[in-house]
Amino acid sequence: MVVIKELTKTFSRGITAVNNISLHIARGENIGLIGANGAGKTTLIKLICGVYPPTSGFIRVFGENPFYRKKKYPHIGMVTGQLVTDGYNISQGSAVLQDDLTVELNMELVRIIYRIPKDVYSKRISNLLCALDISKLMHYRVSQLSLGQRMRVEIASVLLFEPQLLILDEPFIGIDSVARESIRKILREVAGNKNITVILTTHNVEEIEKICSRVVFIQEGSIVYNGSFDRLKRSHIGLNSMRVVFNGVPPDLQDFPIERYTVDTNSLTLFYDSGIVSSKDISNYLLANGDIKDILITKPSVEDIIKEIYKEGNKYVTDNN
Amino acid sequence: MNTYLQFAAIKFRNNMAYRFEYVMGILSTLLSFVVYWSIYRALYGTEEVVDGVTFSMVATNFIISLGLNNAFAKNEMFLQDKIKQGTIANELLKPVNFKLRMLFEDFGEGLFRVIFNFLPTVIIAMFFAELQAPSGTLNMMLCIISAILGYIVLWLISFIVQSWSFWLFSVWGLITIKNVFVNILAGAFIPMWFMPAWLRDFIKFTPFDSIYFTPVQIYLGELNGYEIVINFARQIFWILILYALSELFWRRGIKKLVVQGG
Repeated sequence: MVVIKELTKTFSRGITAVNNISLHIARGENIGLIGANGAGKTTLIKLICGVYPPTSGFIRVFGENPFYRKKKYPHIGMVTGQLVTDGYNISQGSAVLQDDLTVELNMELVRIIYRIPKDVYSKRISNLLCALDISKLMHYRVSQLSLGQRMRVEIASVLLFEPQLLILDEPFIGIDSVARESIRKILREVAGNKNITVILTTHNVEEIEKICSRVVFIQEGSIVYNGSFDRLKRSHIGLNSMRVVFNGVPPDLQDFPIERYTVDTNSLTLFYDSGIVSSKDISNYLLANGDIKDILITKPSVEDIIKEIYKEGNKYVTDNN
Repeated sequence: MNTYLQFAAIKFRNNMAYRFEYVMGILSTLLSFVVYWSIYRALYGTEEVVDGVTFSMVATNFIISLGLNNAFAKNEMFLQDKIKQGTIANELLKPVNFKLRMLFEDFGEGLFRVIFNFLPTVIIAMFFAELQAPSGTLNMMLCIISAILGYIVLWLISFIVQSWSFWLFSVWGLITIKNVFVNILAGAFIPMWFMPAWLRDFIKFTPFDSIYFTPVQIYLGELNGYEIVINFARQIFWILILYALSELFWRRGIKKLVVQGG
């Protein structure tokens, strides 16, 4: 569906936003695109959409060079959730919806633009209203909606024309956890649909882990990691942490090969690599030598692993399908 | 084409849902009409005709040009917002012509305001001001066509100014200047008849008098058949020129966006 080889985009200001990226996305795949602000995620997306011509390299989307395509895509849906500055103040720019129209008329607008037959439209809309819980919002103007409501409506308006490629650019910015959950739910459903390819960008890793099967990690315009979450976790197991609370004074650790530890009056926090020393050995030792009240072992989160990769930079260039 | 008419219909329906807001619009149009009407009433004093122009012609000129001016007002920061927010890229993905869609949506809104703002204003004004009746059914219809052409001229001028957002930080200032030009040179503030001859000659070489003054003249029956054809030709000429310019700016702007990033 998307084939990219050695793609580079340099703007006239001399900024190379995308630097020699190779990437293959198959139909039905769900890709998470992670990177810090300014890493080149949005530029990559705009290259895929054919907004920018590439400076060099090869790109094919739906078998065509997107910039020189003959017709506009009716099959790419894009949702942008970025907070943007308009020069005076920060506002939520709705790329898909028209602020002054009611939600209902916005949906009609999508029907007209994508020439959806009326019966198909009414069937789809009733499904979406239910799934995203927006039927109560139909008669409000978009400008009257909260961020979370607006994002739900925006996603509905894009799913309405059933794009084959759905691009979500930072859809979770500024959205509270309840709305987040309902968006995540529908995205998981969409991700399960094998006809829709999803590209989701974010700098919040948690969101991606629940929706995407593969993660592409971009830093300074280059891919630093490309693979599954599981492999990411396996290959970059960070330090486990074990927090132990004692009734009384913590025992001496002797010479366990742990990385570091911190001691409070009656609690002990250990950081160790489970490949070198097992959690079992440490806890057995502590059970034998101290009066334990409570034990908490934490695995490193993907977030922590990503932080590690951020720090280590381009060291982990892995497979490019 | 049907698709684009539906865009106009959508905007029309959207305004229907909020038509109460237009009561205030009627009031504001009426207020500005009363201001100009009173000024010219005072200027005319006891005279009924000045320079061959009757007072009722002046009043009719104001109700048409001020009324249309208010009805055709639109959000002129639209393009700037789209460009500065970067959402213009999303618009380009949609399988419709962005400019044409923008025109028809604005047209739908303008049409709504003509019906729910302009017409009520005219009806209210008829009770106190000496408005002139249209000079015939045919002229009335020609006037409507000419007003639509005038709207397209106005819209294209606005689009060209708005498309400067590709290069400028803010086009607000330019839009303000443009509005002053349009209001004065199109005869919305001073009727074209009272302008000095040199200014009228100058305006003849600009698109401004084809916005409101051509429909006004047709309505009043000031133009004979041949002159009407000439004036329609001028309106169409300006539409073509302005369209070409707007297309030039639009394409250059998109190109700049693509090369420099936006």
